[in-house]
This record gives sequence, structure tokens and C-alpha cells, in this order.
Amino acid sequence: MSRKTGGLLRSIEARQEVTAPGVRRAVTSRVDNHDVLRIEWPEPVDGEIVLRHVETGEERGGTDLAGLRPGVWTVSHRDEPLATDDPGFSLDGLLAYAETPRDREIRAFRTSLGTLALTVRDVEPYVEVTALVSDDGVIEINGVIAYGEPIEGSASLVAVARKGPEPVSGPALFRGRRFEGVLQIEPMARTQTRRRAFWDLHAEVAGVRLPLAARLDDITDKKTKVRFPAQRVGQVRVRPYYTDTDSLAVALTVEEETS
Amino acid sequence: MKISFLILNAYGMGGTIRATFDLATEMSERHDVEVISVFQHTDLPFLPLGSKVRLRSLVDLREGARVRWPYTKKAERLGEQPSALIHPEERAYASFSAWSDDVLRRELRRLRTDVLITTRAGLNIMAARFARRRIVTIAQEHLHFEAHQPGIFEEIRQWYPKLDAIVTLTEADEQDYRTMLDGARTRVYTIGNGLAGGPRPRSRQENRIVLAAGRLVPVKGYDRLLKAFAQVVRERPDWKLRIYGEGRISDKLVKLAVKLRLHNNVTFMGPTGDIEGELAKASIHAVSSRFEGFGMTIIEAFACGVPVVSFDCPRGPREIITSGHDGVLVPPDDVDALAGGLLKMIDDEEGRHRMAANALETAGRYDISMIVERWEKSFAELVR
Repeated sequence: MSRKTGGLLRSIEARQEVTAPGVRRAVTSRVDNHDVLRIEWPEPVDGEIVLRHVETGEERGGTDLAGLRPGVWTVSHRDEPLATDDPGFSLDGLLAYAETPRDREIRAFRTSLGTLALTVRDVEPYVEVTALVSDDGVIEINGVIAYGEPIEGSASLVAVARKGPEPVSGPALFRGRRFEGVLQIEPMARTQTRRRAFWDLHAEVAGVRLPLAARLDDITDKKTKVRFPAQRVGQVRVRPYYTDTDSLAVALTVEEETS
Repeated sequence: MKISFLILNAYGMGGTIRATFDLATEMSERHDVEVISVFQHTDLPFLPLGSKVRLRSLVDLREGARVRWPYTKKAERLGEQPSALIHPEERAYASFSAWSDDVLRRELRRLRTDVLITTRAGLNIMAARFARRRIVTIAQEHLHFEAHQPGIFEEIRQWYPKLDAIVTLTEADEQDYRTMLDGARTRVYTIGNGLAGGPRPRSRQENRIVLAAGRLVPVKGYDRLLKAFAQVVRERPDWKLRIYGEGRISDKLVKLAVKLRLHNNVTFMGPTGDIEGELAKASIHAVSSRFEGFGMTIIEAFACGVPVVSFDCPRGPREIITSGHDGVLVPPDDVDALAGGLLKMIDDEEGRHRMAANALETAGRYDISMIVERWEKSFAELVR
């Protein structure tokens, strides 16, 4: 969920009333692999589901979510916000959903008031980072392809400086959805001329670059929540980090002489 | 009946504030209830408080706040001086000043209410010293008995017998206070914190997530949790630990997590206003505290269908958790045992589901309506 979405949510929650007691609560409320909203109740209920786009007020009936415009949608049932006991979140579910190539991602979630909402956003294929090692002079990454077709064969792990030096790369391999790649940090550090430099990481195959990122969870603002180990090449400290968009990058900083 | 709660700072976040708000909210259905916050540093409280409860503060710490005439100069002068009424060993001593002494004493001497419930040692002693005699004074102790330093304990021993009642969170504390009171007329009740009403999200036991929550301070033992989790990850690398909260040792803990190479498995999530929503995403709640006065998050976890692995530390966990039934208690201070307890819970999926179901049942005993009934019973015994 982006920071912008987070802000929107807070404003929805401020406007919504807490669901009245006695309202029937969904046991399950999730988006399936075919972008259909699956809602299960303790006992059968009737009445239509209505989706409302927070930004524009556009309303839509039903649970087929194909073609929903990006943004946050609230869900109501019989003119009440739909209350749910489903935390609406499964790490494995998000990974499975991302196995299908798509250009739009729809997620169900439970607001802090206990009501159901959806986020819809445009997506492009990328590599979801599942593990990272930052030791012994290398950065080693394991990941899986999200929202794209599987790939077989050798590839490279490429670091692209935001300013200045040419990209540097290391060996990588795709096996279906799985990706693994290794990057030496010394070639990046060698080019360091400014005090700080930032490099964005990509998986590259046949001239196509897929960004590396960590988005298949509910953790916002990873930049401040995830800290990777730093390594040193002479005076240069090399530390991977997540950017504002949860993409993977590397920060190189020349350390001041300590007396 | 008019009931006044006196609390250090109602505008922050933490177990005492949440418990007080939930209690005040539930009581406000049948009583006239106010919460008096000694300090105020933001416009609105962080945690939700029922609309029927009045909230007011005594010392405004917000930028640009001015004390009204004729106290303006006095406030400036006394605000710089340390408190003389609060014992320096009161854990929140640094918050108090000679000005807060003055305001608090005036407030207590003038307060008209039926029942005054104070919520920490320093305020309990102030109520014993300055509250009007016809007010029923009830001191709540959110800390366990032995947590008090010797100096403030002497004041507790001196002043608590002047109170009408002491309410402890655990039976172990009730015993200790009875022994200390040594025949004084002050009554002692054990009333745990209640779980506020309303339906809760429920864990499906589907995410390989262990959750811990609480201020990032040494007493919560997160250093040991991180070391234990490093052992867990060696066996079960796909499990994650999420730690919610903030606090003064957060830097130290982040560094320790990096040193233990836990960056793929541990996330410091920061504070949350919806701990239940977060609990329901997890499958296990870990408690690594050195001591836990009660353990409200244990009950919150239970209510979301999340079993708990906890150190058998004094005092709350062992009175709430039945080991093997709704959670697992492991020997305190033992990192290997904590790792073992977590791995056992992780690997025994069937057992975890069974304990999750039992946990929901245990949580029912702490429903706020049942807790308020116990408070009202004590009022009936105390009101003259």
C-alpha cells in the first residue's frame, strides 16, 4: 500500500462511523485469483454488495472487480459499510495472486474500524525480493517474478547509478518464477566520487530490466522499518535499503575520518 | 455515581491509558465518568475514549500553552523546579515539577466526586494525602509489587493505608499488598484489565508471523526475543517476527537485529492504533518481558485467536496463560527455552489451532462488562 493510499485511508476512517452492533459480519472477505470478491457469512444473506470509489464517488454493484479504476474502494452491504472479521491478509495469498501476469492488482483489506475496503493499483512485472544477503563483499538476492511471465536461463543483477557512473552487474539466474543474483560491491564503491551515491537494482534479461522491490505484504514505509547490514570498502559504507516505493536500492556513503 | 480517573498522561499510548479508557468508557454507560490527565502534550488523545466520558488535563505542555492569570508567573517559576511531592523513584518523576505539584494538590483538595481512581504509585500517594475525606479513594497498581524502588516503597507503606482500596491486576500482588497493609482498613481487590467490547478480527493461523508488541524498553526483553528468534530462523527461515511499538532503545534493538542478520525475518513496525488488526494477521504472540504487571496484549491476542508463547515472568502471564492449553510458558530469562517454545508452537500446527480456539474462550473471562461488574461490586462495598 503506498503512502498516498495510507493517507486516503485515514481520511476515510475519520469520516466513517464505527459499524453498529448487531450488524452481520463477514467471516471471509478476500479477492480471488480471478479478481472476484469472495465474501462468506456465518449464515446465508441476501442483498447486493456496493463498491464506492473514495476519490470520485463512483459506485458499482456486484463482486466482479474486473476493470475497477485505481484507488481505494469501500464496500457496503445493505447500505452499511461491510463489517468483517477477516484480517484480510495472507502472505502466501499475495504471492499466489502475483503468479498471474497482470497489469492491475486488487487487494482486500480490513480498515482499523473493522470494515472491508479494496485497493486497486496499476502494476508492472518486477522481482519481489524474498531474501537478501549483505556480507563478504557481495549483495546476494533471492526473489520471485511478480505479475509477469516466468523466465528460464541466465540473467544479470544490475545496479544503475542515479547519477554518473556506468551500471555494474553480476551473474543471475531465472528458473521459472525464481530469481537469484549476486553483485560485487567493490566495483560500485570504486567509482565513488561524491559523499553519497545511490544505485537502483534490477534483474536484467535479454535487454529488459525488471525492478527489484518488496511489495507483496502489508508493510508500508519499509525505508524506515527494514535495516540491512552495511559493508565497508575502504572508506565507503555500502548499505542496501528500500526506497519510498519499496524498491531495492543501495546507498554508498563515504565515511568521515574518525579521530 | 460520579467516578473520576486520575492518570499521568491520557494523550500518549500504552497499556495503562488503554485500560483506563476502556474502563471509563464502559462505566460511562451507567455512571458520570471523567478522566483527569495530569499532563497534556497533544490536542487529542491517541487512543479512543467513549463520547460520554469527559476528559480534561491539569498541566498543558503543548507549544504556546499559557497558564491563565493569576498563575502565569508562578507556573513559569515553579515549572523549572523539580517536584517535591512526588518521590524521585516514581518511574515518571521526570515529568513532574513543582508546578505540577501545586496544580495537582489544588485539584485534589477541590475535587468533588464519589469515587477517585488513581492509576500509578505517585498519584495514588497524592490521593491518599490530599483527596477530600468523603471521596472513596481507590488506587490502581499497574506495576507489580516488587517493581517499586525502596524509597518510594516506604511512601507506599506510609500512605496506602489511608486509601479506601487498592486494586491489583494479579492475585500475587493482592497477597503482597495485604501483607504490607498488615491489618489496615484498606481493602484489596484483584481486578484484571478488561477487554473492551465489540467484535474482533480473527487470526486464520495462515501467516507465518510471530508478533510482539509493547514499548521498546529493556523490561520488555526484546533483546532476548531477537536472540531467540535468530535460533528459530535457523530452523524455520520462512517465519517472520513483527515488533510493534517505539521507545528509547529502538536504535539498540535495530542494531542487534542487524548484527544477528535478522533483516529478512524481523521488522520493527512502529506504533499502531489497531493492534487487534495486526494480531489477527499473526499466528503466534511472543512475550519476552522481564516482568509483566498484567499482560493486556496476551488477552488481546487471545481474543483474536492467537496463542501466546511467553516467559513465565512475574506476574501476569502465569495467571492468564494455561501452558499447553491456550499458550506456552517457558522458564524466564532463558533464550534457548523461548526459542524452543516458539519452535514447538510453530511446528505443532494442529496444537496451535486447538490452542487458538481455547484462547478465544479464555478471552471471554476478561470481557469488559464482567470486569466493570467487579468494580461496581467494590464500589458498593466502599461507598459510605
